[in-house]
Amino acid sequence: MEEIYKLLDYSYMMQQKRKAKEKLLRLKGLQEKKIAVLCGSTFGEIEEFLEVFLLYYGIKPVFFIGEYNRFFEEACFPNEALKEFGPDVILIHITNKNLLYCFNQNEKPAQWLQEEEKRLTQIWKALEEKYHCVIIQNNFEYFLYRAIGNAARIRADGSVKYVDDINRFISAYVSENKNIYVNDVHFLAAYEGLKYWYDDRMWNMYKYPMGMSSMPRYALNIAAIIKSVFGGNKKAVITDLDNTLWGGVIGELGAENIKLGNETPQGESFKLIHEYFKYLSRHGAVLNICSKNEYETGISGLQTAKSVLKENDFVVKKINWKNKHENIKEILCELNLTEDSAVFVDDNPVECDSVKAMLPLTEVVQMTKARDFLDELDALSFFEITEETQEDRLRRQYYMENIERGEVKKQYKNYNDYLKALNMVCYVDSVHDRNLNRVVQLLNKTNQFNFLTRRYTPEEMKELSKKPEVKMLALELQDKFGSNGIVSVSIVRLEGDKAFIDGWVMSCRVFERGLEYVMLELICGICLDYGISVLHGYYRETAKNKKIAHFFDETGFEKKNDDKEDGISEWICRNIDSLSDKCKTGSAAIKQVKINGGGYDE
Amino acid sequence: MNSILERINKVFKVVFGMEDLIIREETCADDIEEWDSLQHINLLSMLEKEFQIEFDIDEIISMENVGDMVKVIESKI
Repeated sequence: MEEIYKLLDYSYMMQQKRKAKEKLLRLKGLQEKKIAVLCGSTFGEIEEFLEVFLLYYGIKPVFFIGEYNRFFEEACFPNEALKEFGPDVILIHITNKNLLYCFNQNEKPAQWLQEEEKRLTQIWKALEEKYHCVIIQNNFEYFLYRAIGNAARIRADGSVKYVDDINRFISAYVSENKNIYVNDVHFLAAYEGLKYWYDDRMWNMYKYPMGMSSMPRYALNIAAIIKSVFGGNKKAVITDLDNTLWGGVIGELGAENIKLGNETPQGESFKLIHEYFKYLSRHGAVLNICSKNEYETGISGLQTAKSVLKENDFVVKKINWKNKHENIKEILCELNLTEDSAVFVDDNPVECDSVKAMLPLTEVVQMTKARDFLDELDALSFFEITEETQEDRLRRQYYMENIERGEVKKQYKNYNDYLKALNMVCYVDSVHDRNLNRVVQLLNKTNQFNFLTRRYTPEEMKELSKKPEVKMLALELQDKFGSNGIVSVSIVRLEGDKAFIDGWVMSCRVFERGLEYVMLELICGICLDYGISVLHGYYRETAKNKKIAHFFDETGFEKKNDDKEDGISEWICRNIDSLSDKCKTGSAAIKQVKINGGGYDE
Repeated sequence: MNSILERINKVFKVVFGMEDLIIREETCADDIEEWDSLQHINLLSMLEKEFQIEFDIDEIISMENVGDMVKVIESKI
């Protein structure tokens, strides 16, 4: 997939976009999303680029492109076409060409700014109210001209200050409200350089807000947000050591002489990579090592004072002489993650190629020069944060505890004895404001134990949680090593004497613990409480959820009919008492089930 | 060294995704179905990259067929 980074070059994009699209469309498991674009300027070719990048992130877009410069009207007034389209995402494609400012002629510049803020707020409120979907708002790049020089940053009517103020306003709104995200055009334009970002001919003739060369990056930045919202972020980094985390070969130089830290110029850039990874790991990326070295030798590099990353910043450490792809498979297996959830980093092109060939779904980023490497990693935005939950911040700890569990497991001959020794307690909660973000994240990120792989926005979940006929359960699992946080969610819809399991996910962190039976038993409990005699379950096979293909079969559900057109099979259980009993056996290792929450808060 | 026309032809092939597209000096937007305003911009942008030149607005407006493009490009390289 290294091609994608190259697609940021406009010429290369033009040459390759058709081929790239064809190739990506053949991939399995693409999720379709409806993307509406409200335009302040021409969207045109950007649509093509955005499609390529979204496909790369596993999303097949359907577009609704609004009329040129009608973004305000289309957002704020009744809009049947958009309503009917039913967008999952609305992008407000406006740039500083759409600002009211024009070398501010007004004698009261503050009023203009207020006017601007009022207009944006009106748009956001209208969209939120009418469409309950994800909103992406561009912020604004600086104007190319200042007229009054540096004072433009200070004076109320200055062009620089105006953009700063409106951007600050957008950031504040986005950080205080859910489901709206900023597309940081301001950063993109700075990255490209304003002089190259703008192409006045493009604006004067075609109303394109930026030059063609900047469009791929603009499109990628939008795609990265959308993929993050719908659960497409990566989860793990797997990194090499020699010439990746430090300069030189530690087996030859010894830990004292590797290039790392601020004593040498080369060491400075490796220090930056350490800091970058450490920061990522604080925001949800699980770090692991895959290096060909003697274990003691390799690890000694991280034990030096100059190493920012320490041994225990990494969860799984495969430092041996085995093939890299085998090690990577083992790492993913220990973490219970799928092939496509990791980014592999190595300086050796041969290693990179062999991993690409053996694990085609794993992202490979070759470490070249620190500057180029970080540029690529940064641009592809694998760890874009949209909602950050407590789980993200504690992820490393969760996985660490899981590794410890693995160690304990080895001491027991019988798996059940091991499970009992874990002293598991399950806390049952409904879905409410305090756990909403985590619940949505879990629904959207979970691939393996996910019966329908439906993705939800926080707005949709909030709506669902208000419906009396919909019962949602969120389970937190604790054991003697600590809490795993909220790790399973189900959505059950009641209709007369029937109940339907419309959604059910469980985190891969807690597979083989019996928690799925606790959930099913709780669902049976709801059925019994409401006098329901028939329970329906659904399953749609994806590339990743084959693990649970036979779950309903094995628990005694009967298949209703052949798969529907959309590949969904329906399963029915008419004997809820017996199902409930079966679950009790399956969940026997979990010592206690406590209703009403474990005090989980975001 | 390819002639200007050959190099322009190469750009046309890329922009329209047609490997066997052959253009002549008389070729204009009416001759290629996909040649709409959106692709016109792509054509000009890719020609700028190919020849490492920059068209000004007057030139862009004046280019209606391939022959015009050859003339403008000739005058700039």
